[in-house]
Amino acid sequence: MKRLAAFLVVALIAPAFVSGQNKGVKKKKKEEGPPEVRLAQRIEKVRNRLAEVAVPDNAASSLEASASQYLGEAERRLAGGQLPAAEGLTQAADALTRAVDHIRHSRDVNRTDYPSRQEQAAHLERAYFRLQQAGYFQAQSKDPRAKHLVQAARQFYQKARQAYDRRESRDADEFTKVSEEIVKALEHLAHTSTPVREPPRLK
Amino acid sequence: MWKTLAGRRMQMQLVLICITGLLIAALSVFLISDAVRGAEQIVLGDAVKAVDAAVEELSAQEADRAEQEADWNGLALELKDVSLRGVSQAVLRSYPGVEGGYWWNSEFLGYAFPTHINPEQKTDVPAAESNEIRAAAEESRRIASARRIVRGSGEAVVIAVRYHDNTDMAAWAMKRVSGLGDARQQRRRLWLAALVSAALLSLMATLATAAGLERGVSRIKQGLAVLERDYQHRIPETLDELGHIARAINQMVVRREALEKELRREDRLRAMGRLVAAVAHEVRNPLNGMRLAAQLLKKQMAQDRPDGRQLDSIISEIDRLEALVREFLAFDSDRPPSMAFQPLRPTVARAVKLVDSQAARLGITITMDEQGGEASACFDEGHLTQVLLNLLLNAIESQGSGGWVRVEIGGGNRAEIRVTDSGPAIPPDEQERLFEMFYSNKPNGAGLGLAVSRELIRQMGGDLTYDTHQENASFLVRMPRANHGE
Repeated sequence: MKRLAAFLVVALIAPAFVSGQNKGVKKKKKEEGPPEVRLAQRIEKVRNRLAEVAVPDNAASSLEASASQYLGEAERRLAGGQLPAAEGLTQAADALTRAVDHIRHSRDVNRTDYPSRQEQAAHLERAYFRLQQAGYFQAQSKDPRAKHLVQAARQFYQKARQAYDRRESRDADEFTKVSEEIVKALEHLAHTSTPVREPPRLK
Repeated sequence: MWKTLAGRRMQMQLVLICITGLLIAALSVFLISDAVRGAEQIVLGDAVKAVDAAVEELSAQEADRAEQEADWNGLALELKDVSLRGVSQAVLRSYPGVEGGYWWNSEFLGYAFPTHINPEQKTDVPAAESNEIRAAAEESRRIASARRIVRGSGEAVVIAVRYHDNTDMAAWAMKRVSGLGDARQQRRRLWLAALVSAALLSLMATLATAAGLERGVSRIKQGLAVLERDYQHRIPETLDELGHIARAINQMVVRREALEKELRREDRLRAMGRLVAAVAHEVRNPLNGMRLAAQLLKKQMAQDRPDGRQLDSIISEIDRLEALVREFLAFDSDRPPSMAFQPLRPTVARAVKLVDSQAARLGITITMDEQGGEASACFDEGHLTQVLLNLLLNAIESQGSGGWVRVEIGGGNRAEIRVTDSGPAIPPDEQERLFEMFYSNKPNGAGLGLAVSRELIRQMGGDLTYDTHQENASFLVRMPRANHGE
């Protein structure tokens, strides 16, 4: 337990120092250390990014709040030794963070590289299919807090569909991705409540 | 043999109807079973299409997930099961009655049956079909896709599996089709159909037979109606059972004709008998005259004073006998009428002369009168003489002693002979039966005379009737002016 705590401290402080130094540089770090450490690092990363992508938008704020909640719970589960659950919650929070990021991108008027109309149509179709699974994932998660996420996913899909009809490619693309990310978050939440047989650890 | 069969046409018809009924019942059974089989094929075909489409979509969606998400293949089995259930739920929602999932690494994953009545209860692969699904999944690894149709009692299960090389994942879908080939129910349906067909056929056959009987009976009735007027008519003799009846009627008509012919002959014999009695006295008179003249001549020759006038008397009496014999020969029976256009008076006079002596003995006066000039007609002399003799003898015999008989010849478009006697008119209830065979108001009468007389006159184209408008008994003979048949 002490050993775990020590590693946590190191894991939390080091990335904060490094991120301050390497801002703006996208560099994939090689994950090191045991799974718990890596997860702790990831939680921190997600938290930081969440702070970066904050958008003054009601819907986005709601997603941000949910992401923060799930990150906090991930930390608690990790501290409690529930690694799979912590991973799931972290991934859910990560997906919600990406959703918020896409909301932010939808306001970026300088972006021009949007997919063709045909690709957008195919994307919408995929997103619609994923949306059909949202309710199932929420039920599997047994998390009543996640019900508003199902609603949010549907609303953003509707927005994407309306933007597509108006030929607003930026909004259509970004809102489609928002909807997908929310469903992905729900899927991770469903995973969280699924017992997994952990592989034996090598000692 | 053909005639024997034709004579039993209705029986053969019924046998054929029974055989046809059985054949049609059998045909109905085949047709209905074929239709049922066809319907089963359609239902199974629809199930196969649905299952094939579902499994294609399941496979495509799983492949799409694997392509879109880098960590898809690394997911833990339990987590992959949850994710795949989400996919199955979303896909199979559009395929009513179809359940399915995935087979990977010898494990069933992602099972869902969203259109089930209680989808929450359907969480596991159906145990009864799991082996079939497993086997089909293994088969699909070799040939990319596999399909099986498993038949049970009254239902079939259609299973389709699609293997995806890239993900090493086999998507499977299954649909149950019930209400098929339930042997007992099918047999019941077939029997019912056969019975209905047989009942309908029997009804039609009965109606057809009744119509045939109706036609046959109607034909016989029409034939009988014609026979009443024309004895030469014959009812058509068909080859069926009704033809036997027609044949029997025709034979009866032939026998009746022969009987009537015999009766007419008897009547003529009776008339001749009556005539013989009447003219016996006539024969005796000339014989007596001849005897007297011969005795006188013998005496004269003995005295050597023969008188030729005695021989003249004998010759005269012989002539008188010869005329009597000629009258007898006129009653030639069974010969067809020999028609000739001739005056009526001589024939009437001859008939009167034949009965004159009998009438005289009874004190009955016979008078003959012709009005409106000479009346001629077409007739057979002998037959008309027979009829007149019959009427005259009836008139004489009906009066006892005293009285008169009047014979009038005349007519307009038709030649007429009226025979009236001084006796009272015949009562109305006897008038109706006057011309009936064997009817007679005389104690020893055979009742043939008037019936045969009328028949003879009608054969010559005329008619014999009783005149109901006279105070006395009066019979009227009408003869055609032209030749009968012209």
